[in-house]
Amino acid sequence: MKLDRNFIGYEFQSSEISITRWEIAQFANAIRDSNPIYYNLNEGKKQGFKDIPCPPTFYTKFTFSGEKNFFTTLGIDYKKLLDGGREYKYYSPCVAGDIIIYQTKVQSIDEKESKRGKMDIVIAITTGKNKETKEKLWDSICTLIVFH
Amino acid sequence: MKNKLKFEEVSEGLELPEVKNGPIYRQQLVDYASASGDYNKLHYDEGFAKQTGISGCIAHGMLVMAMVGSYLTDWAKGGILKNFKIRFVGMTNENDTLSFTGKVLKKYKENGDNLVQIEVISKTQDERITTTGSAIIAI
Repeated sequence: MKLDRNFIGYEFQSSEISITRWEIAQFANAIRDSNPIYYNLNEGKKQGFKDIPCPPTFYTKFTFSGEKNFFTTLGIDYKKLLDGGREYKYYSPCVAGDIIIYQTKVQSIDEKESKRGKMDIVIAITTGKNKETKEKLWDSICTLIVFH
Repeated sequence: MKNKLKFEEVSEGLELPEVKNGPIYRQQLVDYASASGDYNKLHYDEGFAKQTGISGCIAHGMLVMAMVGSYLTDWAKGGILKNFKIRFVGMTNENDTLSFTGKVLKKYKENGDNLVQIEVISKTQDERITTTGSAIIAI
């Protein structure tokens, strides 16, 4: 099924979250990255961070903001969904203890033809900011493939 | 603590040493679902995965990207990623072991940062490419 084009430009509610050391360690363990900067505060500090830093793709946790589920809102069936790719732009590091605000916007929905038939290419951009300093931290550009 | 990578040690065309990571067992897929919040059952429920027409559980694309990220940050010891881009070109199946290779495409200075641009590929044990990507790292 073709997705509703009215969602182009749609902004989800922003979300606010506090980054914890425990979540960073849990994430680093799940990706089997044993770098001590993700587990040990002193190692993080030795590398010049004021606390334990986030691994580069930690923001995957914050791909979609708001209380409404991204996929059900757009009417996307998981069985017809493929992850096309991801780009992260990093502006400033984020460490445990930071409070961040992030917000997702549907940038575009375009129809394409593939071997498996017609599909919609959805591009969603999520921007993360530090609540206190207002500094922009990252952009996540998410490409989703949804077969009709 | 590991020594930091120096900008002088890097040259255009330099190949990053190959690193293997895996096998990716079901336990890791469950750990990643929980750590990332991506609970698509495709990654840990074989029955559900088969209903979608694939032969079994597959790794989260973003788990593979995270493993590529670790490969890059391990190599760049102390370097900071500025941009990181991945395209998912093939599925990584449960129990696959991935190997990562990379190459320095460009070395340059911008706004006081020493930057290197790297292209990176992940392959399975049977030489199937699962992701291609690129990164810009400040050293």
